[in-house]
Amino acid sequence: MDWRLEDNRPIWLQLSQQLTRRIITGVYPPGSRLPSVRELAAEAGVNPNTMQRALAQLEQDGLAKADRTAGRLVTQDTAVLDRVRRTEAQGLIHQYLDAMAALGYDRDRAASLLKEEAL
Amino acid sequence: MSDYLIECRGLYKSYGLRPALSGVDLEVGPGRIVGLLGPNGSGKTTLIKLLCGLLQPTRGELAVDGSAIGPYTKSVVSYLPDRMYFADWMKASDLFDLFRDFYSDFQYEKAIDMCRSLGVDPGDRLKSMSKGTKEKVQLVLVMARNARLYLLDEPIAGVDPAARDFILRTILTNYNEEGTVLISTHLISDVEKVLDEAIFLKEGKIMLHATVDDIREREGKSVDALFREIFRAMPMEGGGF
Amino acid sequence: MLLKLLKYDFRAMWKQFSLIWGAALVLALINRFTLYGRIHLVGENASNMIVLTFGSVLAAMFVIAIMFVVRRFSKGLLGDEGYLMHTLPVHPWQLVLSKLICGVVAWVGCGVVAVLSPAFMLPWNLPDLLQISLWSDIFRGIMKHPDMLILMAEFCLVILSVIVLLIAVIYLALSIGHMVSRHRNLVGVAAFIGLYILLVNLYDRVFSYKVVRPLLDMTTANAYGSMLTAVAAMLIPAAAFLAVTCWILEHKLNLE
Repeated sequence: MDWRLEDNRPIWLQLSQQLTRRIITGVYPPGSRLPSVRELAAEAGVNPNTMQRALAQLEQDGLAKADRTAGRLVTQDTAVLDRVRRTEAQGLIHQYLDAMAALGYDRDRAASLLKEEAL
Repeated sequence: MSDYLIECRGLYKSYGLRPALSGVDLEVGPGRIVGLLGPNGSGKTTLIKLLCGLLQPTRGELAVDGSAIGPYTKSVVSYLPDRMYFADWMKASDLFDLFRDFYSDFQYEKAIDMCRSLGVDPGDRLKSMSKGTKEKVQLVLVMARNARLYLLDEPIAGVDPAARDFILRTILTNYNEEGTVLISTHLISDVEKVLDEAIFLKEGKIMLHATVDDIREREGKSVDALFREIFRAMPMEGGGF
Repeated sequence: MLLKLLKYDFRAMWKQFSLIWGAALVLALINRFTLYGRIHLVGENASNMIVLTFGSVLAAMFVIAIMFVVRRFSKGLLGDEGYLMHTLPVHPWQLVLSKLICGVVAWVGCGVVAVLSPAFMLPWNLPDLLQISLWSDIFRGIMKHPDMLILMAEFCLVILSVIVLLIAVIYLALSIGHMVSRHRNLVGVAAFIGLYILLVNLYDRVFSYKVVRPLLDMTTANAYGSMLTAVAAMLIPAAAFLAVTCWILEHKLNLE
């Protein structure tokens, strides 16, 4: 999975969103150790301070915990993971709905179309 | 003096009558990667040369790590010039010897390792190296030091995008994290994501000094886009009478 | 730090001079055999050619010696290599002193080669040279007139002072040239001529015989004192020129 950075938003925010996505999709499984700030910064080609800020956000969200010896560990708290996954899903759904609205579908029709497609 | 690594007060430098810097006040703290951004002739190289002692200011004060420019500041500054300065008969390893002799923070083993990973044989003579390879050797010399302040003058100008990425990665993975890196460039989109702070220089004056994420948050656009906006009007200004 | 600088300056000097010094000595040896050997190894024309080559090598050596002092300073401190030298954690006076010492040694080396190589050409008989009695005679001769040794040492000091003064003038002229933004070489040459005129006037007026004479009378009536006075008369302006050079490098350096 590559790091994609857009121009119009703060870099640390984009990094923390992409790290979040990596955690809930299991790229970094629960309980595993996250790569160090330096490794992650080098991988993404960004400033270590910026990556540090993104990781601090993950800690604040409860997705990662600082560990004295092993750097940072991904949380094993399934409640937290579920909640974050849910938030991400809601974001995607809103994107979908907004895009459908732009095409002229109201919410109900968008939902029923989705249901048809999903079955 | 203070906690700042770089401090300038009313810094003024002119070549003959033409001012290159006119009244620069600047403070940069430790542990930062800072972009010194501006079009050609805006004073980037002049500021860097003042910081490493190759030029003397016409007026104003200047301190690195709390000291006036002199042997002490030179021992903590690692400078990548915008040109080659080696005698051709030397080998890369001769240069490493020289740096080890003069700079106590030079890590010899690391330099050899970096050379190997960049595909350069330290035993090769500089004479037999291509321009790109010589630039790599120069980068190794600068980044193998555990310096307080790295001054990199246009490190990615004149190389292809793949090499740019490579150079930036080398800088990111090797600099001393308690130190500060000052990178001068006009290729902003390439360096933007490695920067903490951006300094915009225009006609020898500082137009803007802010963190990259602040600029993005406040302006809703990249530093590169903001830079283009500010400097687009440049050619018009010179023409007015 | 000065020792480290010297190490690199001497290495550069050796690169420059080892070949020409070696060539001069080897050519002198060849001359010795082609000129005086019992068996003529080569014809007369060829041996003339070798003498001519030897002469031009000596001439080239002195041109290179002057160029060496000029270029090590103008390129090494005021040109591209200055980017490296002036970012080393050393004082400007250390850079200048290192270059000066190296320049003096290079010139002395050239002088030694210029004196030694013709000596090589003379048809010495090796067994004679190796006789102990010859050397003990020389030694005893010297011991009879120990003041000769002092005079010779003073003479060497005078030569060294001349070299130091000349190099100091070159350095200061180049530094003055460096202070202008255009036509640096031209200004450098003009400064050299100006400094030369200054020195001539200095010796005419300040260090003229009239001024120095009482001093000479005071020290001693013989040559010792006069030579030491000459040394002082050259080293004092040389020190002043070097001090100004260092000041320019410290405060007016302008590597664009």
